[in-house]
Amino acid sequence: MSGSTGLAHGVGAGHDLPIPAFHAYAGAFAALLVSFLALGLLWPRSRFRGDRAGRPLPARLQRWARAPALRAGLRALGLAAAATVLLHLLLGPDDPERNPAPGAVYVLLWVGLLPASLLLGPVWRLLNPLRTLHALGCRVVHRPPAEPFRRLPQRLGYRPAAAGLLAFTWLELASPAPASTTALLAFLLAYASVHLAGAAVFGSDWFDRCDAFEAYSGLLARLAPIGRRTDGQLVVRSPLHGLDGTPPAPGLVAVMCVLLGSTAYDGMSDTPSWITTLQTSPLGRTTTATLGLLACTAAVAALYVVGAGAARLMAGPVRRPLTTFAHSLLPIAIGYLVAHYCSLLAVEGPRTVLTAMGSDPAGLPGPEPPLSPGGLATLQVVSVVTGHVLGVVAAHDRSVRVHPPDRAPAGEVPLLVLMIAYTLAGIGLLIS
Amino acid sequence: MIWAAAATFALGSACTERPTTHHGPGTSHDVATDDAGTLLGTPGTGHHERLRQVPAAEAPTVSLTVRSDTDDGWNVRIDTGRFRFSPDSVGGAAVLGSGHAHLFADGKKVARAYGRWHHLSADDVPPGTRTLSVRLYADDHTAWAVGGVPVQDTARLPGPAPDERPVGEQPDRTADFTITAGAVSPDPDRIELRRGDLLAIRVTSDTDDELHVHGVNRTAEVEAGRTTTLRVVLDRSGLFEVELHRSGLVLAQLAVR
Repeated sequence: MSGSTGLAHGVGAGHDLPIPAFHAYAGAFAALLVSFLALGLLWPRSRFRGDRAGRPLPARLQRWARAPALRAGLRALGLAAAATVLLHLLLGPDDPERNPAPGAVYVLLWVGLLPASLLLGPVWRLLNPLRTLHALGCRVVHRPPAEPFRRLPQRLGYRPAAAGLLAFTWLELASPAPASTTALLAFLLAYASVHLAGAAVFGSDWFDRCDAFEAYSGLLARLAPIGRRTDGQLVVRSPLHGLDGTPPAPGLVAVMCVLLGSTAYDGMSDTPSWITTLQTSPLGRTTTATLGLLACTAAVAALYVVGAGAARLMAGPVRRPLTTFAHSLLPIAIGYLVAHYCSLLAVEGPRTVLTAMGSDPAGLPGPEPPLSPGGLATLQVVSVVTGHVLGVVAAHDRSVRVHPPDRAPAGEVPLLVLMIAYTLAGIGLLIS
Repeated sequence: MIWAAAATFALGSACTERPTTHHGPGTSHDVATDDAGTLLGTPGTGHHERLRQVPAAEAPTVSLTVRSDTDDGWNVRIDTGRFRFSPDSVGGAAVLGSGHAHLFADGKKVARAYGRWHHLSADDVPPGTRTLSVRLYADDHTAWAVGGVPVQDTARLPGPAPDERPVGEQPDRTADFTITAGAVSPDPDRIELRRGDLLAIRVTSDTDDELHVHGVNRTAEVEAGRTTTLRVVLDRSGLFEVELHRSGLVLAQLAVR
């Protein structure tokens, strides 16, 4: 067993303290109140217009954002960063304290994509070194990158991305040595091979929904204040419009369940009782952790299926009953992710950058957390509750759109109960 | 006359710390050879390395006591036997049973003492120093020795090293763990602490391992069958794991508020 077994996040020395009971009760109460107010007070007719909404940005800004130089620069940056990480993995010490590569993958990439995509949009689409490599390869053989040998089956949807996310979260949270250079190198090379092969067969569209990190970044970007309208204009828009425009592709539910389930498992793995279970299980730690991760994901999925099924019973059939409401889980998942990872990014992010720049922080404690325990607890609860509120509003709007007006409130109740369950579970994991 | 015995001088030994006072006749800074014991080693290597060997029955003895000063640094007590401090004749010839003492912080010389009590300022000692030693020297700056070993004593330097408290201080919490066949007893749990608390972690394992406290990043070797104690001061808030590195076992989580 490697020395990094005990680290739940793959890297990092500390975890967040459990939040005080006051914060937990305040958060739970706010979530319940908002849910039932929403039932009575929110609009009776759908208001969100998805990708048709938004106010165009000034033409100059749009030209600047479209500038080939900017895009080429970002692609070069992504490629250079990937090369740096690979070199550190190949040549650097097998010690996450002195090698910046694990931090670059688990913190800068995985956690860093969260604020970057929430603020700026689908940034990984531009930075993704695999997309750039594929484009360079296509240029060598004189093929347009988007031209496929075979058409990408529509029913695949987000499913490959859900599988990729599950594999990545398994590596981070359940594998025996998440921060070892060998494990990371093996994962990254396998991941790159699969997706370069996918893109070679199906064209660069493969990356949009099948690459785990692009799908993740693209889904987070639905809540960004800037987005692209259907007419191609870059617009400022309400995150709720953007969220409504989430493509209802197959596998969207699976992605949501993996995001929620893995974050819930991450929270659970910090509890002494789960640590005891891991250390005393006759199955061994890795198997037990894997089962725990799968069980969390399955529990989230089962709850969702029950909720969506109950909604269908109460409000009548809709087309694609599962996928129709999947987008409303996205803000809840983001609330979970922000609550669990913000201090990791704030503490380990700068440390990773410092290590990459050649300073040797081994032996030094990391920088002081930027927030006091009370401030951090407030931020965690606020992000979980905000995610819940956005989820409730998104589900309400979708419910009044797809259900007949007299049945819409009834159809909404199971979804509200479902969201309350997710949110209370999220707060429960923050308090334990 | 003390320096009447200084008949010949060994040449070539450089002195790096000349006294500022005027040297009397026969009191140059060079090493004198006389009847007081036998000089060991070769001249020219710097006289602080030169030992003056005397029979154990005649040799001076020394013992060192170090106490933290409430204001600054440490108060050092040098108890000697068959020895008197001779500040008046320093630089002169070696006379059995007299001379001065040098203090060493982790082997590096930090002070010369001419009496039983000496105050050592915290500024005089490199940060992180763990031990203080004392050796006795003759007036000619050769070290008194018995059987090729200098007459010396060593003591642990109590506080204020960055993450340690005086050895005698009572810890705020003590946590005991026993590891048998890969199982931790008691089961891993949270230990609630306040910032600045001193925690003593005692580990007894049936295998060799390495104890690691995250957050303060302190480690200690654990020897199979023996109890290892690691004292840590938790000076930042957060949830930190106490872990055994080789077996990968988490012993406890420290919830520091």
